[in-house]
Parts: sequence; structure tokens; C-alpha cells
Amino acid sequence: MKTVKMTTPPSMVPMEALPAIKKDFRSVKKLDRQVITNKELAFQSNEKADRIAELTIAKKELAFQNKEKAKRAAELSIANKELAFQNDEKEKRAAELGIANKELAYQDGEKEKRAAELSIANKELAFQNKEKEKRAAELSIANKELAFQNDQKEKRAEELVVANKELAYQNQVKEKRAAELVIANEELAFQNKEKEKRAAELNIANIELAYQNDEKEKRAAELSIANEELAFQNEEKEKRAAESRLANKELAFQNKEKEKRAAELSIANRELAFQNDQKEKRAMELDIANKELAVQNQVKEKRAAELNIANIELAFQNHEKEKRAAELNIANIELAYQNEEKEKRAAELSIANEELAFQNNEKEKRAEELIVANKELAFQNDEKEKRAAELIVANKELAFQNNEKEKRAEELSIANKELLAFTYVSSHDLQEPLRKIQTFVSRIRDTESANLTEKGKEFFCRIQESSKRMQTLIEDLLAFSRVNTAERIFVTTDLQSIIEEVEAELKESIEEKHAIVEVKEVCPINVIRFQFRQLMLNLIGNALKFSHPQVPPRIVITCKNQTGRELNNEKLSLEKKYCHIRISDNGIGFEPKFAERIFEVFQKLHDKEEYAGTGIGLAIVKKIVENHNGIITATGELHKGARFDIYIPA
Amino acid sequence: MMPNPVILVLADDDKDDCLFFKDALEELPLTAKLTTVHDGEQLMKLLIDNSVAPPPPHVLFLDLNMPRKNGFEVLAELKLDEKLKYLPVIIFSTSYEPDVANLLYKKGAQYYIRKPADFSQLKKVIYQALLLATEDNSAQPAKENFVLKGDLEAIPS
Repeated sequence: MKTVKMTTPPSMVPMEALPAIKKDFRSVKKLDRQVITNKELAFQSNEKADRIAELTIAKKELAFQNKEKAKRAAELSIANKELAFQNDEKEKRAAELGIANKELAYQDGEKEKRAAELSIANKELAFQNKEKEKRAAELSIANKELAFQNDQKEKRAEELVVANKELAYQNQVKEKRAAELVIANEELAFQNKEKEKRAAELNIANIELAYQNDEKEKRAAELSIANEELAFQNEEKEKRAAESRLANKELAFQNKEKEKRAAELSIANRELAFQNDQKEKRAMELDIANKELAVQNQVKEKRAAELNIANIELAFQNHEKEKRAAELNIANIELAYQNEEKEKRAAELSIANEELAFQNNEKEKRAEELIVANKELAFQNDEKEKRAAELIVANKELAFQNNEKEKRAEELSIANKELLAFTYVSSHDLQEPLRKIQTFVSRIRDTESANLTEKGKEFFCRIQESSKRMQTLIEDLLAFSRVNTAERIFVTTDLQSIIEEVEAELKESIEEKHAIVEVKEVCPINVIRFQFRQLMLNLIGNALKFSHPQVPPRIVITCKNQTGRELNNEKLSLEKKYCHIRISDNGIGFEPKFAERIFEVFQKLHDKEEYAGTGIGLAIVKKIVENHNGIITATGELHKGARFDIYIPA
Repeated sequence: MMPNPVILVLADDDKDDCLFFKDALEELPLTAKLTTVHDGEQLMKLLIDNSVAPPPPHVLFLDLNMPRKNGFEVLAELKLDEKLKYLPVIIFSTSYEPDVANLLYKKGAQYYIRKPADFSQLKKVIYQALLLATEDNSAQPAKENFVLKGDLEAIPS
């Protein structure tokens, strides 16, 4: 179908043309509709022709199919008959299979039951094994940890000991060095004192020298004065000698004058002789006068000679004085030399003093250095003391930690003891009500049984049996906790006496079973006596209990001291001495795989109807052996007997 | 020879045990006059009054665990009393601890009975204790005979 669309926009057509256009448009539409209807009719006629042809074909096909179906129905009929036969056969067989299945189902049920039982047993075993492994692992870890802690502690203790030793050694060395320094200081102080003494002596010597120099200078000054005086005296003497010479010259001159006068006198004499002649008298007088003059001359000559001698003497004195002056000069030179020497020596002494002062300085320096060194040493000592203090603190801490651990161990021990005490007290207190139940039951049995039915009587018997069993259990528990809590006093005793006591206690059973207890070897043993008695009671009691019904029990006990080397057990130290106690019997024994398990609490190999017991006896035995720091092993063979070996430190 | 009647004191705080004792005694071939007290203080009061007003008892059966004053204290006090120290004291207790028994023997107790669970055994052991304790020579026995087991052939009827 086509639709005519308005393609011209209305705005392009004038308004007055619109009605005419609308009319045209309607007629066109009507035409279009007729054309379309015609076409559709033609198309439908075609479709119908086609469909008639198809129906013809389909009819032919259906006819063919109907034929095929008739054939197939015949075949199916045959097949159905065959199937009916087969079904019959199958039902027969199914019935047979049903019977077989029921049988199988029954067998499976049985197997499942058994498997379930086995599974439960396995699970239980696995659980027990796991528990044991866990416990062993925990114990192993705890042991390792303890061992490790012990190691660490020992190491640290060793380190501390080493550190302490080193410190002690260092302190010693330092004390030595300090002592040496003290000695060195003392020596230095002594040397200083000596030097001071020597300096003081030198000072004194210097003062003395200065004094001597002064003295010498004084003497030199005096000598100088004396020299000057001598020189002055010499001068005076020279002067006087000069004066003497002048006087001599004058005398000589006078003598000459006199000679002249004598000559003149001679002339005069001659004249006078003449005159004498003339004047003989007068000559005579003159002669006398001459004689007198001669005497006077003689005197004068004498005096001249004396003067001459005096001159000679003066010259000699001058000479002497010159000599002495020369000597004094020499002495002066010598004094000057000595002064020089002394000055030199003083200079040397001064140098020596300086050197000493230098040495003193050096020594003071060294003393200072030593003081510094001492301070450093003191500092180091302080440091070491600090470190020692730290180590002491560390030690204290370790001690504290150890204490804490010991405390904890003690607490655990106390808790353990409390637990055991609780076990003990509760077991103890359980005895009383139980006993009363038993007594009441015994009274009913004795006096009221006539009023009871057979069933009632049987129930009372059961009560009695259970009570009896509970009583045994409580008694065993008490014995077990007693072993843990009671005081442990070791005494040296002989096994024989303990065995005799036990035999007395088991007398009834021994007689009843015609048992033989044979003690082959004994030696003194150091044990907690009541515990060891309990141990022997349990072991001998077990040997009696687990005997062959037809064979009289024979129990053989030996006891001897042996070294670990002889005993061939890896848990024993080779060099240590052990008391080895062996108890063997000819009873029913046990399978070797149970050798460890029989020592565990509540572990039993037999049911209680067969062999009564609580499963505590051997746990007590093991505990007692452990209380003696020993080990116990069990060896057994089913139906052949059991053997227990106890090793306790001798 | 057993006195007739034999005068007994039982000190036990447990009423059931007192009943058992009384019943057992009544079934024994003897005439007895039993006084029962339930603690140590009552007992001492009774014994001291008795010492003023006769007749004094021939035998004392003494439980250990009692209120107010226990058996150990009673025993110690009796042994310090000039008149009462000759009264035979038979310890009558549920438990048996070797250490405790040794201590009691040292303190001068005459016999030790562990209360049996079986009533006929109770009768036997009470009878045995009365026979032994009322003998003319009632000195303390040897230690191995201290604990009574009631091992009699039979009780004469």
C-alpha cells in the first residue's frame, strides 16, 4: 500500500486554489484504492493455485506415509512379542538378583558394622597415638626448651664468669699499675725531694762560694791595699833611698869638700906647718885638732859605712819587697784564676741547676702526664666498674628470671602437689560413704534377704561387687598419690627384710597358690623404705595374680651392684654404679609390644572378670622407681612369664 | 575375763557408724553399757565427770576425724591425765595410713581398727578388741599386732 504524501509546502499555494485541489486529491485517492484492491485479488488467486498444488503433493506424501506406518506397525507387533518374552526372562533374573542382592546387602551391613567398629577402634588408637605423640612432642619441646634455657643460662653464666675474671684480671692489672704508679710517684717525689735537697745544698754551696768569693775579693782587696801600701812603702823606701843617695852624694860631696878642705887644710897645714913651724904649738894644737877631726872623720866614715850598709839593707829590703810584690802578683793571678774557676764552676752549677730545673719540669710534666694517665685509668676503672655494675644488674636480672622460673616451677610443683593432695583427700573422704554403703548392703544381705526376690538379691550382689571394685580403686589411687606426696627419706636397708614383710602381707595368696618366692642374691640398697615396700608388694602381687591357673607361681628375685657398662641399657650412664633388682616369674607374661604400655595409669591387658585390678599397680611401681632416680623395664613373652628389671643409682 | 557389764564409750561424729557400732554390739554375746559422744570436747567432759562419778569406762573407741577436738588431741590429753592414762584407747577410723598408725602407736593407743565394710566383720573386730582390751594385762601389744583385723575363728554364741 502506498500513501500519498503532501510534498508542496502549504505556503507556496494561493489560498483560493485550495478547494479545487482538495477535490482532485480525493478522486486520485479513490483510483489508487481500486488499483490496489485489484492487485491484491490477483495475488490471492495465485496463492490459492499454489496452495492447491502443495496440498495435492501433501496428500500423496500422506498416502505414502500411511503405507509406511502400516508396515512399521506390523514390525512393531513382532518386536513387541519378542520384548514381552525378554521381559519375562528379565523378571525371572531380577528375582534371582533380588535374592543375591539381599544376601550381599546383609554381607555389606556386616562388613560396614565391622568396618565401623574397626574404624572406631582405629580412630581411638590413632587418637591415643596422636595424644601420645603430642605429649611426647610437647615433652620433647619442653625438654629442648629447658635444655636450651639451661644451655643459655650456663653460657651466659660462663660468659659472666669469664667477664668477671677478665674484669678481676683488669682490676688486678690496674691495681698493679696503680701500685706501680704510686711507687713511681713516690720515687718521683723522693727524687724531687732529693733534687730539692741537692738544689738546697747547691744553693748553700753557692752561697758559700759567693761567701768565699766575697772573702777572696775582700782578701784580694786587702792584698791590693797591702800591695798599695807596699808600693807606697817601696816608694817611700825608694824616696828614702833616693834621699839616702842624696845624703850619700852630699856626704860624698861633703867628703870631697872635706877632702878639698883636707887638701886645703893640707895646704893650710903646709902653710900651717910652716905656720906650724911657726906655730908648732899651734900645729900641735892643730894636730890635736886634726886628730880630733880624724876622729870626727872616722866617726863620719863609720857613719857613712853604716849608711852604706843601711842602703844595702834597704836595697835588699826593696828587692825582698819586689819579690814579695811579685809573689803577691802571682797570688793575685792565682786568685783571679781561682775566681775564674769558681765562676766557671758557678756557671756550671747554674747550668746544672737549670738542667735540674728542666728535669724537675720534665718530671712535673711526667707527673702531670701520670696524673692524666691515672685519671684515665681511674676513668677506665669507673667505666669497668660501671660495666661490672651493669653486669651485676644483668646478673641480678638473670637471677631474677631464674627466680621467676624457679617460682613458677615451685608454683607448678605446688599446684601439682595440691592436685595430688586433692586426689588424696578426695579419695580418702570417698572411703567413708562407700564403706557405709557396703555395710548397709551387707546388713540387708544378712538380715533382710528373706524379704527379697531373687532379682533383688542379685542386684544387691552387684552393688557389693561394684562397691568392692570402687574400694580397690580408691585404695590404689590413695597409694599412688601417697607415693607422690609423702616425705622421701632414703635409708640403707636390705632387700631381704622388705621381701619378708611383703611375703607376710601376701601370705594367704602365696599359700593358696603354692607359690615359691626365691631370693637368690641380695645387697644393701639405699631407698625410701615404705615406697620400696609398696613396689615389691605390687610386683610380687602381680606375679601371683598373673600366674598360670595350673602352674604354681615361682618368683625369683636377685639384687646386685653393677656398673652401667655391664648393664647394657642405653638410658644408663656407663660409669655409674647401679643397684640392679630383677624380679622374674613363670606366669602368663604379656606380648612384648605392651612392654611400655603396662606402666601407664589405668592400662590393663585383661578384662576385670578375668584378672581383677585397677591398672594403677605398675604405674605406682614406675613412679616409685622414678622417685629413686632409677628406671624400670619390663620384658615378657606371652604364656612364658614376665621379668622386671629395676636400676637405681647405688 | 570380760567385765559384766563391759562399760564402753564410743566417740564418733558419724551417726551411721554409731548405729552400726550399737547394732553390732547388741548382736555380740556380752552385756555392754555403751555411751556415745560425737566430738572430742564432749568426750573429755564425759570422761572427767565420770572420773568424779563412777563407774569409769573399761574401753574407749575413738574416731580420729571429729569436730571441735580430734582423736589425736584427745589421745594426747588422756595420756597426760594421771587417772585416764590407763584407759585403753582403741582407734576406730575409716582410713588406714601406715605413718598415722605408727604415730598413734607411739602416742600410746592400744589398738587400731579400720572400720570394716562388712557388718559381720565389724562384729568380729569389735569383739576381738573387747576381748583383748579387757584382758587383765592390758599393756600395749607388739607393733605388728597393733592393727586389729577381726581374724577370729568365730564368735561364741
